[in-house]
Amino acid sequence: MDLPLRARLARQTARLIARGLQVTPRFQGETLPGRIALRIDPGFLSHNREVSMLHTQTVLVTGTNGKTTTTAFIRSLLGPSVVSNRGSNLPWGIASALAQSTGATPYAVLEVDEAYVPAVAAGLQPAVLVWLNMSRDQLDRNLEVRRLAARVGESASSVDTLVANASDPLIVANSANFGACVWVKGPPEWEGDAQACPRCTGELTYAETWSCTSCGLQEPASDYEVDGGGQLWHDGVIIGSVHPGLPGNFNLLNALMASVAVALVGREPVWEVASRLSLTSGVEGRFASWWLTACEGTPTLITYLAKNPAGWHANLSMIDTNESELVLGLNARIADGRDTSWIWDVEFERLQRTPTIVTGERATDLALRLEVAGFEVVAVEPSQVRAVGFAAKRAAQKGRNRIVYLGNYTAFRSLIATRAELGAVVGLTGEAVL
Amino acid sequence: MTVKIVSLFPDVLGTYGDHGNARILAHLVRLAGRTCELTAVGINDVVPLDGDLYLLGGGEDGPQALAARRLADGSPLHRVVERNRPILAVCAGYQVLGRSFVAEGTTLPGLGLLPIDSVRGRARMVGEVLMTPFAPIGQSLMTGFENHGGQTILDSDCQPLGRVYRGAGNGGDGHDGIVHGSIVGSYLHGPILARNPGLALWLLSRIGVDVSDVPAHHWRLYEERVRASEGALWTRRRA
Repeated sequence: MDLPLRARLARQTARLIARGLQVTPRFQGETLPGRIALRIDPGFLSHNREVSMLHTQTVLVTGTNGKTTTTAFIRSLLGPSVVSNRGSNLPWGIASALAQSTGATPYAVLEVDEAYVPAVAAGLQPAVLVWLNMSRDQLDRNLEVRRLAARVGESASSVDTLVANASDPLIVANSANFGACVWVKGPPEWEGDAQACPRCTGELTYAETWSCTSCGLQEPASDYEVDGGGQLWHDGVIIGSVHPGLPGNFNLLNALMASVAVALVGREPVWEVASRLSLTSGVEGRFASWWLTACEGTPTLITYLAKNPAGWHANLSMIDTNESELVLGLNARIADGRDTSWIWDVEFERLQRTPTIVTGERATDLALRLEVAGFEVVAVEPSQVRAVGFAAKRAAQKGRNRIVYLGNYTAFRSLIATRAELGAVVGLTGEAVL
Repeated sequence: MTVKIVSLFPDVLGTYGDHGNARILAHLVRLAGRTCELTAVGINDVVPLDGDLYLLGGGEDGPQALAARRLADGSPLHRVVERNRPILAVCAGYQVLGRSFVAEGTTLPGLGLLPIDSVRGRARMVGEVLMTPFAPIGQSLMTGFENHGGQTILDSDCQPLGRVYRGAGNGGDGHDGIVHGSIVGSYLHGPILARNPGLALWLLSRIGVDVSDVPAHHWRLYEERVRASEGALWTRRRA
């Protein structure tokens, strides 16, 4: 059986546009084909599932932080024939990815923006939904985090198995309707957004596990757990280890959740999948390191992307800033959220106070935030290329050779896009520099 | 003497970075050479009555209703007002101090400390705000970022915080916020005191903290944000 006529037309048009976009300058290259496919056939996702994806097992990945990286982990585990999107996680980005797939593929792994999980799940009926974490993000264009978590929970009837983070009360409070849950736990991370019980707003107490003193909501027993050393636990026994190849405790958890999802769809033991996992570089410059050949001393630049308080805190906590220059970049375009007030929710006060260069279109906001937190702001330089160049000069003066850059979405993307001005060539991977 | 700044319920009314207001005040108090005790009071904690300055921030409907119930119990903020201590209340916190507000479709009683009622607005109001303050805060303009669904109606004899040139503010009257006795209410995030150092200094002067030497660069963010918005002053003013 072939796709219904409308869906076929949608697919052919989307492919044609995608091909056109390859030869023209990149403008909405990842979303335009899908937008048009969905305009021609609003049921494009479910039509794909009913026909060409009849034997495809779909994994959806959602959550505030780590979607793109976790999707990359799963992709690397499932092999090259998998249908997948790369960062473009709204329905049209997903439709673009589906339109590009040829023939029957055994697996699809798609990252989905939290707000669209029910719609995408209803269309694709996934075997697994991976739900990483929930914290505040871009409130000017998103729902507030509690309502967003409730919305993800609405997808329960469309999902076979939920693979979710047991440490996150917002997830647990909205997981009751899922038929099957596999609970996963990682090394301790940020808990700032979930201090009051998301179900009854009573007091949450944290010890080994969390629980609510009023309504009894509590952390479910985890089926799999990874500790800070990368050891994989099941039923109180070490059964293997996790090697994400990317830095940070949160990537240990992302890697474990990816392994559990792949184990479910591939019917393999989790430890076996985890042992195969290793990503040697992040996606589109995330966790990448570069040699800056146009700068004095050819220092190494390591680039981190994080978009919200939890992400910034997690990234900044793992960066060893003793031996490196720190550059922080902030923009406030639509994709970032126009409101920069979230930087006041980053717990800079709990971080090591490192002399810092601030950059990006909203560098001034960052400068004040850092000063109040007790940081020395070395320079406020809106041009990111000049800011990194300045960091290179400072590094050379101090006999250092490492610059760490952390930026939010469009700041990060624009630095990566203009890296040629710094003579950046891909250097070592994230793992090798640690 | 130690200055006590009390940030109320940042765990549930801290969704928009408004706890930053408390951090800014504490920083300025220390710049003034005074010691500062910054207390973050959780939703399940007892509200201290001996603070010098109180702060309430924005949050979602459920937590807002809960905060109102907590503050009705024993009326700690009524006693703060009796002692004439300043309260800065932003967004959901601003609404809670009024006579009534709407959360999750239900009209709920507020604390009645402000002669205002908040109702559901027609559309959510999100974006940059530019206004001229009425209070003598040492700024000719104020900026911030608003993100709210509620509209606030002041009694006719009330003093708003400022006249809005860009954005919605209270939502219907061309103004934002209120200055009422020792209470300042506003819809502005940013946080409001990061972007408007004059308001921070004015609040501190009301508790006897004189910060005459604010480092000049504290004003840079104010100037930059005003410049980004000032075109609104020359376009037709909202009704």
